[in-house]
Amino acid sequence: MTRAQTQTDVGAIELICFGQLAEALGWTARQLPCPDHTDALRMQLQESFPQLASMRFTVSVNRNIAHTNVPLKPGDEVALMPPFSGG
Amino acid sequence: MDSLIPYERYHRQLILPGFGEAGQQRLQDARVLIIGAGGLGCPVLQYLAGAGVGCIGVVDDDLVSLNNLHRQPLYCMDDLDLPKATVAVEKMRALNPDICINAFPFRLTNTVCADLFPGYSLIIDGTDNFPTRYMINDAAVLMGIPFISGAVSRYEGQVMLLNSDAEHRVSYRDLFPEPPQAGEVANCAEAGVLGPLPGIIGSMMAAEAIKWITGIGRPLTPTLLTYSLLEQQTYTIQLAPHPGNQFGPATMSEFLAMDYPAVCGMTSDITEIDPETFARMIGQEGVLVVDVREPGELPLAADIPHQLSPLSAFPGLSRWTDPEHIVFFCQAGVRSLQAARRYQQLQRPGQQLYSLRGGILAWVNHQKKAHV
Repeated sequence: MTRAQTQTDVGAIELICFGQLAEALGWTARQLPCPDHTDALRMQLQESFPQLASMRFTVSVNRNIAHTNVPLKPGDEVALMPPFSGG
Repeated sequence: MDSLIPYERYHRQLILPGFGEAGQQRLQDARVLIIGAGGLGCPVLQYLAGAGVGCIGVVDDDLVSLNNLHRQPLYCMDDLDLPKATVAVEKMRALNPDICINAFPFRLTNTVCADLFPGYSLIIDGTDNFPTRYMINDAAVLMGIPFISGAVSRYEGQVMLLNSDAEHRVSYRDLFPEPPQAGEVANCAEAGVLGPLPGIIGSMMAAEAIKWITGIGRPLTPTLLTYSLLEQQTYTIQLAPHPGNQFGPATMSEFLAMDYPAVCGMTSDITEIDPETFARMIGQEGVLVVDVREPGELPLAADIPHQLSPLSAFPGLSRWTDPEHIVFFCQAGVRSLQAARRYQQLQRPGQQLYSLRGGILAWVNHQKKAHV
């Protein structure tokens, strides 16, 4: 959203968050040093942001859903998407 | 059948490139079940009825309340406390008498899914809670019916067309295998919502439904579209089946045995209690009694310690996290059951909800008998 419009730093990934996840973290987009893969990213996030521990979300890499552990490279765009419930 | 197309009514869509009489005929032959006649369901219903979808069903057990009107402008003040499904369907019959449209003003349950779904070619999920979302998903997957899922969260919304064809058979559980637990994800009543947002998302759902039925454009499948009202931007994610997806029930009998509220960490049952049980509960520690009648309704319940939270604005800002037991009462026991159902989305784990059967009138009778 506004999110991925800045130039990504060399060696970094762009991390984008939605819904209550963004509210819990207090930001919608941020650059992070590139972890090796999505599992490492998840672990890193849980350590840095303990409030994520109880939240459910799905991960996409370059706008493709990542069910399994997906390798990451600098410049990748990773989105964390929680389920919405309102109607 | 095409000689029956009312050209004047549908003229502006009939002249669209790629739409034409063939598109109109497909709409006329379509059967769409809309679940939830709220912020999302209303615009879907209005546009599909307007476009001439031949058969529409509307499921909702909720009543129109004052705090709905800012985002559900289909309803008006005269509709307060009336069943949404019935009111919405009446309005749609006035909008387009050429289509068949049915109201199902009751709660969607596993059995209702099993009974209703096979009669429809497309399902619209415009509900406001996870137990129903997972129930709709599982039933639609087992019966092979495509469905459009829409949802909102504060200033953002999600839309996707799921379970739509053999190649792209992606379900909600491919994104979110297991439901969040009660209280984990806020709904509109807790988080708030700006009126136009469900209008926008509902309109997107209606557009996807028309595209899917008529075959125009590229359907949102298997794609999750997220819309941000504050940024006026969208973000799409390509979906794919989860390699380990055996998360839902495997058969209809497994489905029918599922307790969706319990799976989502909610106590499924609202216990209806008689005046005798009510008498025992009043004043006990951990018990809160709530009158959901409107101001001015008589008799007053002066002999019962209670709080007021009128159904027309229920639950409003009411949150009761401390009491273990919340007993709702009204005049005759109908609205209190409604209030208890609405409060289910806010109830904390372990909290039990009750409704006084027969309402204050039954209580008054009971008191009279007790004092004879």
